[in-house]
Amino acid sequence: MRVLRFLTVGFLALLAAGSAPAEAKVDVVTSDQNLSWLAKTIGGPNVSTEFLAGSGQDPHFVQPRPSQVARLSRADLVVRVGMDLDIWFDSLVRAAGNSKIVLGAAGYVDASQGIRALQVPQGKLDPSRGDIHIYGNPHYFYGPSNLPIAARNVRDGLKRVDPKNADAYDDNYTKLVQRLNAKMSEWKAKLAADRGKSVVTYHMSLIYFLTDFGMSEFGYVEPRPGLQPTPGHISSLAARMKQEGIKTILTEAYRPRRYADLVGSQSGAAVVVLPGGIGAEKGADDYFAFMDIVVARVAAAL
Amino acid sequence: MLRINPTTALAAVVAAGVLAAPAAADPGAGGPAPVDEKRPEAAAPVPATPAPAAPAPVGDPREREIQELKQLVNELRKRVEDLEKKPAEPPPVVPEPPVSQPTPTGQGVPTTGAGGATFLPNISVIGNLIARAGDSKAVPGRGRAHFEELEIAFQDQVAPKLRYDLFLSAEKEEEWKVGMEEGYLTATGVLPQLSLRAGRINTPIGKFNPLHPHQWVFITRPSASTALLGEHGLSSEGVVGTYVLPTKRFYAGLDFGIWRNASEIHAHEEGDEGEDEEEHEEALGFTGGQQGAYSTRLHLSKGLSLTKELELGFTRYWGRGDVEGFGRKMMAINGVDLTYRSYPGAFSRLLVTAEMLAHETRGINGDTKFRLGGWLTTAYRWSQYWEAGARLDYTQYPFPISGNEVGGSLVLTKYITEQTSLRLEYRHAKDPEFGHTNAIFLQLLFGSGPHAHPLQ
Repeated sequence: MRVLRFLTVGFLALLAAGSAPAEAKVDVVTSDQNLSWLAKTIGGPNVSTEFLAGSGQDPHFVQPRPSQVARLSRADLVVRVGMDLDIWFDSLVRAAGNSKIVLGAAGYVDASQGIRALQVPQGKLDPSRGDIHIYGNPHYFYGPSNLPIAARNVRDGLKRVDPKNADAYDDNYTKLVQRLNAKMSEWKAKLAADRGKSVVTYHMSLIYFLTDFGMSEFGYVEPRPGLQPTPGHISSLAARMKQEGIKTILTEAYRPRRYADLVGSQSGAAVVVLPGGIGAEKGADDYFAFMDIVVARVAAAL
Repeated sequence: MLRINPTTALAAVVAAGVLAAPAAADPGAGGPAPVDEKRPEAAAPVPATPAPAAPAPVGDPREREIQELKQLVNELRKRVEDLEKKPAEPPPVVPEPPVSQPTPTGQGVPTTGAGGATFLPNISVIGNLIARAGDSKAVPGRGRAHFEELEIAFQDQVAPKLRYDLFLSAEKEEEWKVGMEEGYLTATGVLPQLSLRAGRINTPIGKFNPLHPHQWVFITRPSASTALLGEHGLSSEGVVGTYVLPTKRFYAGLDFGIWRNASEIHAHEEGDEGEDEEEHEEALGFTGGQQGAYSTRLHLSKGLSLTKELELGFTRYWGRGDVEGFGRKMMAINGVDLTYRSYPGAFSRLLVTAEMLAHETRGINGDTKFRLGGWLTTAYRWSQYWEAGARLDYTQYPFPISGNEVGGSLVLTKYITEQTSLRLEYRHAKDPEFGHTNAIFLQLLFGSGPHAHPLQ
């Protein structure tokens, strides 16, 4: 008991000494690394940003941890992917006890607000259909046309919690969209010859990218979202790919490589590994560099 | 009589419409009045089956007008053909985002739902089916497979800062019984960084006791938990406040709870093994706090990197309770827990936890009796679909029972979906009553619906 008292008192003393002074910057915590870049781009020098899950992690499988609660407990603004991709984020927000960032508060931003969702499941939903998302496919960040929507949500959130810098946030948003417009023309030109082509993807995670550039999904390495590929599914998919002349399998770097390779070896298709997001690999330091890599690899493979 | 070619007439009407449109768009510009779409009779009449066409008299002003209109139609046709020859223009490079209408609170509800809004709470079902085999009577229900538990949860936000979580549990001992495993209200942000929970709660003792069985990385409960806290762990009714201290570099959460020990709600049924087993089981567990208890827990956690975390927790739960043969005494559970988590890959995870409990009984012939127990667990998930683990556990029995148990387990888990898994556990244990026991457990965990628990 004495030990417990000693530790408690010592810890409280440590806190008193180590507590951070209040900072003028807007403290933004995002659920993933892509959104952190977006918040920094819109917020500029007026914000400090942190992310909870890196782009090397599968966003479905992030396990919330207490240290993440500490980051949220002092946040002025949180930005989440939404559409049930980062459902783990809810338990962290609840544990943080920070009323500024709960759903409905000014400091809560769901970046998916206004995204035109694709692959919204219809009818009765149950786990037999795999790990599906009821609000539609949440991997919208792979589609550049969705970036302004997410950016607008971030901008609006920043303006709510920091109205005195609203003009700066508007300017940064406009610059981002202008730069994206220029890059989008470049990316479309690089992939112009690939319009109308079909590819296989490991997971249902690239539909927004393919749609933006006029391509389509032929099938998936996973038999159903989140389920382990079976030998029967791999053989069947490879046979259909050979029959239809599908030459490319796209997968994110964090997914198991061997199943994509199995499909590739049986079908003769090339496996193209894409970065999972901003910062997932060297050179993918911002959205434009990340998408440059994605576009270049897809264009080279198709 | 003027005869009009139907194609010419149609073209004339279209051309007239095209020419008139800009003026019509500006009523103040003196153009023709806009067509009232609600009054079809006001629109220009287009005969559905016009009369056959015939050439009009040359030099007739109407003929000139028709010729002009024909020329205009030809020009328009040529422009259409030219446009069709060009490659299709892609849609706008970056469309202007649609403007959403935020709610008065500043944030809209999801607009991308499957079928729109609903007032239904989150409803989920977790099934826990276990088959057991073993070489001694220490394995209850051996040779059988049955539902260990069927958990039904209702969870929802009922106000901006208030939510409820209700976990009903159906268990089969001799008969199926439905009870409330947990049920509480949570108020967030009562004061800055302070949240309150009130209701029936798995007592916040250490890392393990608050968890539900489907959250474990093994099938069996550690012997120290069973012996020192109770067959189902320790549940309490009361209120607990959690204050997240304003630290920057690490997490520090401080709990303080006021309780009435509610573990007796898990009624002990007479088992297959007879009266002796019933008495043995009833003597185990924590009996303090039946008329009031307090708890405090300090939970520290430091992110060593983005993928590594170290946690340390200290717990004390105390209250008065009956000690067989000694009357009502002050009793307490003291706990220390240490957890290391590492996520070396997108799906891989290494989990190491150690937890130690000290069961304390005061005022026994002027002395304080301590009984110790603890376990060490490690689990490694090397892919999205597979995990292996091991556990060592040891416990003494609570005063006044003498003796101890020691055991070890090996676990292999296959994750089928996010909520469904198949798990195999081999366990070897030694206790005073049954001696050495080998047991195998096979568990099918399945789930459906959105299900969440507070972060531990």
